[in-house]
Amino acid sequence: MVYHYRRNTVQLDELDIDGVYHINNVPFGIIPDPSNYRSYKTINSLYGFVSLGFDDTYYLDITGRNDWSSTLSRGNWSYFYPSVAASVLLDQAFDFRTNLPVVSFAKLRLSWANVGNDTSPYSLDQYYSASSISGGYALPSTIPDPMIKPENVESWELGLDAKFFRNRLGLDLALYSSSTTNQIVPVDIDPIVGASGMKINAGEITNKGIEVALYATPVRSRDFTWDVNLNWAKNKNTLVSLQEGWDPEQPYETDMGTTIGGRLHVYSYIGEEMHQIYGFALQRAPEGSYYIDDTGKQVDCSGEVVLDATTGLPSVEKTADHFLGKVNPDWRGGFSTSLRYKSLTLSGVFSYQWGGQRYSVTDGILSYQGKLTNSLEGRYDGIVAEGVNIVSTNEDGSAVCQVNNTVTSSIYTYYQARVLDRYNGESHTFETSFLKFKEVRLEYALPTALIQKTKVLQGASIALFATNIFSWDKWPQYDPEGGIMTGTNVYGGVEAGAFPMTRTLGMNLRLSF
Amino acid sequence: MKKLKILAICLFVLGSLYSCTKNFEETNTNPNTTLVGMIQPSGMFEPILFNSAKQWLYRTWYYNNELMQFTAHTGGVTRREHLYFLEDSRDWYGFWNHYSTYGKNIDHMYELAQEKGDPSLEAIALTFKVLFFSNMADMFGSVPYEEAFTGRKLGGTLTPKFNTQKEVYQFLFEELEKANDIYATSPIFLNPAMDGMYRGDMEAWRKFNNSLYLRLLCRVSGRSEMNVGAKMTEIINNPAKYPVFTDNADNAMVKFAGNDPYISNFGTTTESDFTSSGRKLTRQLIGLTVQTDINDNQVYIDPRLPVIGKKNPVIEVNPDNIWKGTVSGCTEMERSEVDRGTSWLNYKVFCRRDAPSIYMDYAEVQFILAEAALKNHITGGEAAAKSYYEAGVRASMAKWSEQGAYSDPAVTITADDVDTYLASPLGSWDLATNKEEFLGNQKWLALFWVGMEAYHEYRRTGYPVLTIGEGTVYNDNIFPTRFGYPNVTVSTNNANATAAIEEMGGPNDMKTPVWWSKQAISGGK
Repeated sequence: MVYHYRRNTVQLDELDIDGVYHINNVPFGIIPDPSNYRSYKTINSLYGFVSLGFDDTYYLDITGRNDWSSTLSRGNWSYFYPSVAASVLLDQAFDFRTNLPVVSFAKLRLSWANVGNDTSPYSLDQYYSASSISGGYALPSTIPDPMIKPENVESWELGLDAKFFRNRLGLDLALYSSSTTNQIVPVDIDPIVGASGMKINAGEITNKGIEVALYATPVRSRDFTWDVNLNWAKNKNTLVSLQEGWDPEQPYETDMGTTIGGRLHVYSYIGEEMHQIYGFALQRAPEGSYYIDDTGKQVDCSGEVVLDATTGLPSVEKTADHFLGKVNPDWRGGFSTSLRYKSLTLSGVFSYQWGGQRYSVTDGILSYQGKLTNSLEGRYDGIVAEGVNIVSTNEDGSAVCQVNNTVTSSIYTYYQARVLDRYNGESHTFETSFLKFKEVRLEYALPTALIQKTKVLQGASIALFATNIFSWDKWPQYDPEGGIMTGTNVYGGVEAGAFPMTRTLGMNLRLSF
Repeated sequence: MKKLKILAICLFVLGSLYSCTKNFEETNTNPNTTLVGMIQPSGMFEPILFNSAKQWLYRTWYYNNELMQFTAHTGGVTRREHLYFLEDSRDWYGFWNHYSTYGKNIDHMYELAQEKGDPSLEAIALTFKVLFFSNMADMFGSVPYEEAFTGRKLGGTLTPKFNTQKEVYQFLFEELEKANDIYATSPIFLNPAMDGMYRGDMEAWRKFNNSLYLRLLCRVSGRSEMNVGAKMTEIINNPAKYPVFTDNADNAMVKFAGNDPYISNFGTTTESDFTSSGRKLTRQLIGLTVQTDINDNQVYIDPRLPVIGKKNPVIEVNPDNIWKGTVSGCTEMERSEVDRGTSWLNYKVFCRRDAPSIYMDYAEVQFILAEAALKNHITGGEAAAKSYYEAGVRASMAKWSEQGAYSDPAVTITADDVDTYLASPLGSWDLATNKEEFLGNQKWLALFWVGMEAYHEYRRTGYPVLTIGEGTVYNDNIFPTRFGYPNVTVSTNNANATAAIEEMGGPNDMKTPVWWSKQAISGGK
């Protein structure tokens, strides 16, 4: 297969006459800036598969594929990726129809699959980047790896699909484990080494998870049906290793669309769950700090906010190395149900998610500008912020403290530059757990007798519906599911200018012919 | 009946199998640009010269002016540089990346020049290298030098070790000597039209190289072990071997033709973006450029002030049509009060498509020598210091007079005007009680709009005495002693960065003094 890409653009920095858009409308002294890019890539493949069935019960599919990609170097450009999938119909194999009649259907499946992937063209050599000055060149901003290897995703999946009581109860269970090796990813490097980025084969990333779907019809009669659907999924994403020679203390950073000017990073450390949020936080009393209370008792206060004894103000530690949360939720799921009585159906859809945090730029900006009620307290008289003052520091780094009782010297500084400072990630990182009532619908199907009279219609129904009825969450602004959208990418770790949820109330008429 | 069914079997080929990898290397050769190493060194020259000159202007406007209290962006709450709101990414990383990016291109131009035998660009690359690396070390302290930029080369490193500022300076002195020796062979600049600074005049480049030498010697003059007096004396006593700037025509000034892409940095900036909505002149600047009588009437002004500044033209806020400065470092509460009727930068002078950018000028050389004479690093004592000082002021006035032509109305500074100035309480050497401070203040004025020099010099001398405003809470009311290493450096080169920070007496913040600074020297560090 041959891929051929071409892009030609001409850019004018200024127009001669406003509002007239063609490339000749250029003022004196301005030169149109043309850009011409083309790329070629060839992938040749050999693909084969065999599909076998035995006794209408046992199935086996085997595939094999070899690709040769022009984007990789000699020695790396050929890669093979096979897959094997087996399944067995348990109800057939063990004749459940007679032996275990409650089971109406059961299928067990096991698969192993590999998918290989190359990289983009021209990633192996160093090429100059062009300059707006004709004949001018600059070194590229990335260092290529000429020996970069193709990516491979290997995955195992074990699944069980079972139906009971004449399909009144169903279960779909899947356990999976996948491992991505040699993923080709860009990483930031220190520009003093000669470039600001690099493409690497990122060791190994694993995803392990479980997905459960349950569906049931607890009641089914001529006039009344009740259906329930439930699903639940859990996934754990682990960074197992990075490229050889990578300092294990050094995190891998995931692009979240922004780092709020280097103040917030989504890092993954080797051997740990991926996508942990690090940023600024208020200064806190170090481990082992204590104060003496009124009764003369020594009280541990490590981790409490440190406030200045004279100003009563906390301070923001401006190093983006404070752990603030993790992006990935612990689990997520959905629930839907419908109740039908004769021609009337009432249905509802819920979704939920647990665990996971995100930084909210929206909250940061609104807060530090004082546009929210979170800066109301103490507006006129100041407040005595909760926390401790450091009296002295011990040799081991711990501190002798006293409980703060200083009124803030400036409530403006307290909120605007400290607690609610928009860059203070600690104050603007929130749980993304939620329970959403996504949709409710009441539908009435017109009687068949009536429909038939029209001779044209096959069916007709009328429904009232509402979406986004409520969301029960701790997210401060708008939608706990909102992220940053840049082009076609949605980044989950940071929310910036996400849209609020929109609620729709409507009526819906459905005619089928 | 049990039976095995073959449901499907299939084998197919996509693309060509006969020659799986034929022409792969050719297919994967980028048809859009050139492989690194395949160009002449001159291909690197113009982007370095012009783009860095633009960056120089941007950074002097955005950072140096604000830190050094020439201006204060008091409008709005998003620009808080005058309150020392400076951190990673935009600020720390911005400078680090700026010096590194130009540094690597300069390093590459040097490689190419050596490889392809172009001694003129070899020498120029060395001079530029010194300009960028000295600035980088001045901003950050210890920086990778010996192992910098090797990441893209065979056998290089992605975790370069840091050199101390002292080591960097010693290396730079060697490079300056090396460059001076190459210039001495009068190499030919192959395409003089390309050189937007000296039109290929290698003697002028040589003067720049050696003037830079004086600048670096001056910077480390507080460190007695550097023994700068001897070298300075050698330079001024051997103009044939070490020619330096002798008048404004020698200035390291990049001239922008004004046509695309040779447009100066603020060539298309509006007055509001440039100054009036935010960056106002300060009381500090007005205080050192305007003489008032006992009734606070403005009786005499520095002739350069109407070139670089503009009185607030709005009669409602400036009814007496006077020069007014805002308070750098003011608090939120003071802001609307102190900001009223304040003067602006002179948009007409700076926001021209052909406005030049200066790396270093003749006036600075004279100020360096004045200080050296005053401190007896070179001979001549106070009398020589005074004459160097006056030459420096004349040079600075002449430089701004040329720019004054673009002011509205035009400003010309005549020799008589300079004489008047040199006799006035603002500019008279003899009337000054503390000569070192006077010289520091005057140098500060002369270094306006010259990169980050005023910021470096203030940390070295402590002059002019700045008032650190109450609003500068973002660095705990402490003047930023340096810029911190950006996050990417600390995270990807942790061991070396940590060692460097410890060696400087850390932490990695804007309170740790750099090696040549007054604070480090007087603190015994």
